[in-house]
Amino acid sequence: MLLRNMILASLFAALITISSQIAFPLPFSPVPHTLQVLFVMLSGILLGPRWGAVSVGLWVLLGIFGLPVFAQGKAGLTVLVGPTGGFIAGFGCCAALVGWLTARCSLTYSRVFISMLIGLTALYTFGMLGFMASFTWFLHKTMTFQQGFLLVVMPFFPFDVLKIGLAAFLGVRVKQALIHAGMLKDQFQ
Amino acid sequence: MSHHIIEIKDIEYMYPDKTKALDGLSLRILHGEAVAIVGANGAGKSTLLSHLIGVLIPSSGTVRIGDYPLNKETLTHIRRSVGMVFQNSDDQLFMPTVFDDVAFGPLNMGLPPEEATQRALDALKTVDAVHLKDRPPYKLSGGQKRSVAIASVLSMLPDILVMDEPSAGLDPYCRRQLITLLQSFKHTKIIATHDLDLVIDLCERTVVLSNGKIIADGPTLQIFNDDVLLQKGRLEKPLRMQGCPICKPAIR
Amino acid sequence: MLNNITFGQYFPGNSFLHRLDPRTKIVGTLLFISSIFLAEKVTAYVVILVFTLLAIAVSRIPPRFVFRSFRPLWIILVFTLGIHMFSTPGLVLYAWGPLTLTQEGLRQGILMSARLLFLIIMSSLLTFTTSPIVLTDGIERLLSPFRKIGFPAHELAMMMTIALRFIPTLLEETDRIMKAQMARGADFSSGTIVRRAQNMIPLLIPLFISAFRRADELATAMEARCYRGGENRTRMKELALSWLDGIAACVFSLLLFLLAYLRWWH
Repeated sequence: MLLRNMILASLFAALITISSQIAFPLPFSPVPHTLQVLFVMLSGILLGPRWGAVSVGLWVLLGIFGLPVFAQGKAGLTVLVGPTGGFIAGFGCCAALVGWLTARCSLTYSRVFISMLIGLTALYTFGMLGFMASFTWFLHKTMTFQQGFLLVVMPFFPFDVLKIGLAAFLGVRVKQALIHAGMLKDQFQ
Repeated sequence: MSHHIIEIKDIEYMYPDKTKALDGLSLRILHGEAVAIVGANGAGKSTLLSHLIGVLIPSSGTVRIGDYPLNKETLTHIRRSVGMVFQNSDDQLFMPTVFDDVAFGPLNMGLPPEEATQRALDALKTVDAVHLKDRPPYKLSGGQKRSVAIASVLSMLPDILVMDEPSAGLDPYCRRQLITLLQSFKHTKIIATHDLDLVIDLCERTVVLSNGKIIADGPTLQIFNDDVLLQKGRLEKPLRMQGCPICKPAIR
Repeated sequence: MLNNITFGQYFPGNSFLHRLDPRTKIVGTLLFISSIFLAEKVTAYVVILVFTLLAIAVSRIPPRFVFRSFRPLWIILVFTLGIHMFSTPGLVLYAWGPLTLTQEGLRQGILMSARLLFLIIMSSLLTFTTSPIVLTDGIERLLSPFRKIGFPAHELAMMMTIALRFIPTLLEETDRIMKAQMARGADFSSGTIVRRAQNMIPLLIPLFISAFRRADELATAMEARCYRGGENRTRMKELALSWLDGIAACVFSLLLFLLAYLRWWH
C-alpha cells in the first residue's frame, strides 16, 4: 500500500513537471499559461491530502536539484527565492487543502469546484506573500498589499478559476472511473 | 536448484465486483516442467500467474510452492524462488540504468555489492545484453526491454520462471531469440500466452483455461489437435498447424 | 528538450568539483549561501567574488554555461540594480530628470546584485557538477541519521528516481494519447477555448487512469523482486570521502573565517 502510494506520488510529480513545460497563450493575457495548477489540484483530489502534498514536494525537490521542472524550464534554489517562489510553496499547501476538503465532501462538480476554489485562494495568498517578501528582500523596499494584489492576483486569478473549472470536472470524472475500476476506495457514497 | 513442486488446490479468487476470476482450480507442476497456460482474454491466465508470486492470495484453496504454503509470512521466500516477467516491460524497469535494474533484486535480498554486481553481469550475459548495461531503460527497443526484464528476474536466481505474454510485441527475429533463450533454461517455466506456436516450441504440457476453470491439461500437441476443445476455449490451431494457405483456403 | 531531463543542468566532466563527494558539495553550497549574509563591507564581497571565480575555474565548466544560469532571473537582477541605484538617498552623482543616481545607490545596487549573482552561480555549480542520481544519493546519505526519528531518506531518494525515470515515458504516453485523439478528429491547436478544453478531457482522463494502473504494476514488480523499503537493503556504491573533500573543507573554512573576521573584528 505504501509502495503504491509512493510510486503514485512519483508519477504525479512527473506529470506536474510535464504540465509545467507545456505553455500556451490565452486571450487577454500577456503571459503564456500552463496547466500546472490543474495537475496540482488533481494530485490533491486523486491522491489525498498527504500524498498529493508529497507529489508536489517531490516536484519542488527535483527543481531544487537543478532539474528544469519549473515553468519555462527553470530550475534551482534561486527560483524559490524569486518572485514565483511563493506560488511554488503554495502549490503544496493547495494540494493538501484540496485533498482534505474533497475527501470530506461528496463527489459532485460543485462541491469539488468550491474545494478547489478555496485551494486556489490559499495558493494565491502564498503567492502574493512570497512575491512581496521576495520584492522586499531583493530591493529593500516594502510593497503594500494593494500593490501586491494588483500585480499578482488580478492578472492571473481569473484565468486560473477557468482552469480549475476544468480540473473539477476532470477530478470528478477520473475519481469516479478509478473507484469504478476498484483502484480507489470510495469513502463517501 | 532444489526440487520445487508447485501445487495449487481448489483455489478461488473473486474480483471486487464479485465475479469469479478463478473457480475451483487445481494444478500440479513438477520441477523442470515447461507448462503453457492458454485461453481467451479474461479466462483467468494473468490472475492465476499473480497467485504464483503471491501478488494475489486466493479467497479459498491453497497454493504451495516447494516447501512453502503461500501466506504473508512466506512471501519473501516464495519471491526468491519464483521470478515473474510481466507483460509490459515498461512497468517493470524503473531504475536509471539497465544495470541498476538488473541489480535491484539482489540488492533487495541484502547481498554484498560485489556479489550483486556479479549476478547482474551474469544475468545480462545470459540474455546477451551486457552492452546495454549503462543505458536508460526507456531508450531501449521492445525486444531489448524484454531481454532486460528477463535479466532482472534471472539475477535473483529463481527456480521457477513465470512469464506473462513474453513474445507480445516482438518482431520475428527477437521472438526467435527469445524462444532460443528460453529453450536453454533449465528452470521450471510457466508461460501464459496467446502465441500458440511458441508453446509448441517451448512447452511439452499445456493447460487450457476458460472462465476461471481448467478445461484441459495435457500434452501440447494432443490438445492442439483437438478442434472441439480449441473451439470451447475460444482458441484456434497454432498457425503452423493450420496448413499451407496456398494449398488450403483460409478458415472463414 | 524534456528528453534530456535525465541530465538536467548536469555537465559531465572530471574536474576537482566533479570528483568531490556530493555531500561535501551540498553542505558546502548551503554554508556558502549562509555566508553571503555575513558580507557587509566591500572587501568581504571581493573575497566572495574571488572564491566564486576560483570555483568556476576549478569546475572547468565553460563560462557561457554559467551565464545561462542567470537567464531565469535577469529581470530581477536588472530591477535590483536599478531600484537601488536610483532610489537610495545620498551624494548625487548624476541626474536624469526624475532619476537621480547617488554614490550610495551605486554601491548598494552593485553589492545587492552581486549577492544574487553569487547565490545563482554557486547553486548552479552544484547542479552542473553533480548528476541528479549522485545528488539524490548524497541527500539520502546526509539525511539518513534522521531515519532514526522516522525520516524516510531512502524512500525519498527512491521516489525521486522513479519520478525522473518516468518523465520521458509519460511524455511519450501523452503524445500517443494525443495522436489517438487527433485521429478521431480532436483538435488541440485551434478552435475556441471551450472547444479546446473539451478536447483535453479524452486526453487527460486516460492519462491519469493509466498512471494508477502503472503504479499498481510497478509496485507489484518491485515487490516481486523482494523490495521491502530501505531496511536491510545493500547499497551498490558506497559514497566515500577522499582527500579532495578534505581540501574543499579547508577552503570553505578559510572563506568562512575570513568573512567572519571582516564582519566582526576588522
